[in-house]
Amino acid sequence: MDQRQQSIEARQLTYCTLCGACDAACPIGLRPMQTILAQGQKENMLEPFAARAPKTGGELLLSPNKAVRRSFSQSQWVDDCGIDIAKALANGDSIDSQRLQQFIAPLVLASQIVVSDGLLYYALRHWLPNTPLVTLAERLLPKLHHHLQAGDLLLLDPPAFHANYDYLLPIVQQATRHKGVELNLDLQRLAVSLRSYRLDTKAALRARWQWLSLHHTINRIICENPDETTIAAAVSGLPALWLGDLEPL
Amino acid sequence: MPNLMRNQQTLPSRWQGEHWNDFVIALDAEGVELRCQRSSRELFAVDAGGLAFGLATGVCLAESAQQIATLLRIAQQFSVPVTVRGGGLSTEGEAIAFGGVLLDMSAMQRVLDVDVTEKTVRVEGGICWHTLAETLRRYGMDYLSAPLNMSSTVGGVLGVGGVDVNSMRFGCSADQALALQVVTPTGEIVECSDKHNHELFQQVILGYGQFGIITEASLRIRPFSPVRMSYIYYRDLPTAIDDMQALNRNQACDYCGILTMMDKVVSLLVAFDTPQKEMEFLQQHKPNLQGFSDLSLTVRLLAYYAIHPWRWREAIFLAHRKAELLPDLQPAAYMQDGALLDRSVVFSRAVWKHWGGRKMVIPDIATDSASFAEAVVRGNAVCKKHFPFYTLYCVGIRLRKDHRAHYTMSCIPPNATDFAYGCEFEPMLHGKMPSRDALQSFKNEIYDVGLDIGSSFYRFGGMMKGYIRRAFGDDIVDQQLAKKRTADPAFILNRDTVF
Repeated sequence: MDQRQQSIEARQLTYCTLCGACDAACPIGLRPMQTILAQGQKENMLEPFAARAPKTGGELLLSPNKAVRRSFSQSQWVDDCGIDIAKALANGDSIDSQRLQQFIAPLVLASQIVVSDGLLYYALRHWLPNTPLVTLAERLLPKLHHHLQAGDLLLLDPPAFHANYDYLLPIVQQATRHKGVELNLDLQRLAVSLRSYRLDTKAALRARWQWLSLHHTINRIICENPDETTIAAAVSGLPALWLGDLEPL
Repeated sequence: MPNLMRNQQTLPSRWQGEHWNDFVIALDAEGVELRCQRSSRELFAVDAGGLAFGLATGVCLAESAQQIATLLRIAQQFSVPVTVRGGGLSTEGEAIAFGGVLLDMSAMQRVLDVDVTEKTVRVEGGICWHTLAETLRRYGMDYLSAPLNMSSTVGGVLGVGGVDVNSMRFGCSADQALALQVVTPTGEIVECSDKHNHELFQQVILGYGQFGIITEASLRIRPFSPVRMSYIYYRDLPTAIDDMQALNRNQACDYCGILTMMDKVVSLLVAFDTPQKEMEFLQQHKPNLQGFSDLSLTVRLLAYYAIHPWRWREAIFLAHRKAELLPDLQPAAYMQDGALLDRSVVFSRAVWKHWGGRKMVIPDIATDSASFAEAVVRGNAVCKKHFPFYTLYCVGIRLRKDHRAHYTMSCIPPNATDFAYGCEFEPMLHGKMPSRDALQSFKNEIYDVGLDIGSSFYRFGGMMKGYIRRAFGDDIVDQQLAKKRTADPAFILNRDTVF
């Protein structure tokens, strides 16, 4: 019986979608996501990494996605996008401190960093507390929101949205107000995940899509995270595009 | 000294584990899984009250009525106590198992059917009110009334009451139940309502979990509407209570309640589902109220603290509290055209942020209309004696004549007729942690006020069960106890919660 219990408890760890809503939802400011991400780490991995430094660099883009890169100037692209680090965060794997230093070092001087991966955005806010970090929605919505239309579902990337929740919520609400655009927000104004950063089954994806679309009229899905468009289109049978593709910058 | 001894509250003794191994083997043979690792049991060692601690011998995660029926049938056979837990928001240890099985209902959280035409919903018993609200909103509907803390479960609340600021219009949450699926303590699955198996229905509603486990419930619902809300201020409690009761009698608003900062600022909340109702209130009822505006309150407070300068700490507290609380009661993300969307979410978050804490100490008194002001004033004096900062929360509950039988030995006082009134007395501890005995003494003093007045209590179970016979009298308690013994021969279900 103990073996059966252990296997159930191990499975339960994967039930967490790493959406980070627990951080944003907690009325007294607890940060459960930090504990969840720290699982499997030898040290307190969310300690601030870099001291305050002059911001002599320009805006940098941290995204391996080609569509996202095309929307920004080539000079903004960062070669090392920390794909392995984002993957380790998602899997709960240990992150080598030297590798982390190597990843962080070129970012310290940036005046602003656009981060496309929600989990990486969450972690970078802890690692680089003095560097302005923006999500794709924050960067793109003010320019593109007039291309959103009734029947669109704007799928926000939950970990990125929740990592800077108090600031991002008014921006998103302002951009979508009175347009008939649906958001993947619940009554607490927290973003509901379509895709899990951890193990995802087809059944789980279908169940999440059923919930997101329940009693909503949706004709098109607009994803903040470009990696989500394929999954969104497959599970919904609707056209899905990345937010930046609404119109080139 | 005798009085102190009489009031001493203790945790129930721990069940000693007789026949546990045979019980586990029998359950396993029937496919019912128990989690016996300490890490699983520790998750349920404490409730929201934070004053009682206990470990179950094993934890069972509820999956279906059939599974629960099997559990209870075998528990009867081996006399193993079963404690049921929903959101774990009890304050007196009612949701804690002191040995035996802890049945966690939180996985039974589906909405089974929403009937917009008939305005009803069918849910599983472990669903929390927040999840229900989420689903109902997709249909443009809302529940009628629910506790301000929305992480409580439907099954748990139907067993104890549930009051909201619109209970003065719709009654308590338990009054919204139309039908239930109940697993009896002997393991039968029974559907019941006011018409079908009505005796069981009456026993389970407001029955403190003694007569069965609610696995499904049908509830009345209504169309969703944003809320237009305003506050009227008072400097004394009886006047505010007088006005609240007048508003309730006349059904002058859709929501009404009193929230205080000590007895220095008494706010009467009034809110409306429609602009028409608000207009009617402004024209017909507001001129008769004795309260005043925010500006007028500020002027009066400034004058008061100008001539009482030694109370500067209190003045600073009030200023801070107002600055922190008011924005959280009307956050921009939830406002639309001057109306508040999803008030239940806003209130629930505010409750946790501004009134929550590691120890939730909220003794209460529930009275009829006539005794309410006296109960609040005397309870306020007790608060003042024990704590520099505290808050009171008062609401009316409209009673249903056809539900008199439901109200037996419940939070609804026996002498209440059209309305019952409840007041919660909550110290604000600000990170300070008085001893358990100090907090218990405070609760006892509040309860003693209630006994003296002849009231009932919302939280009379668990550690406060010593008050039950004194509050309800031996005759009623013995009648209920006899029914319990018939329904639950081995006395397994929620043992030590009430009896």
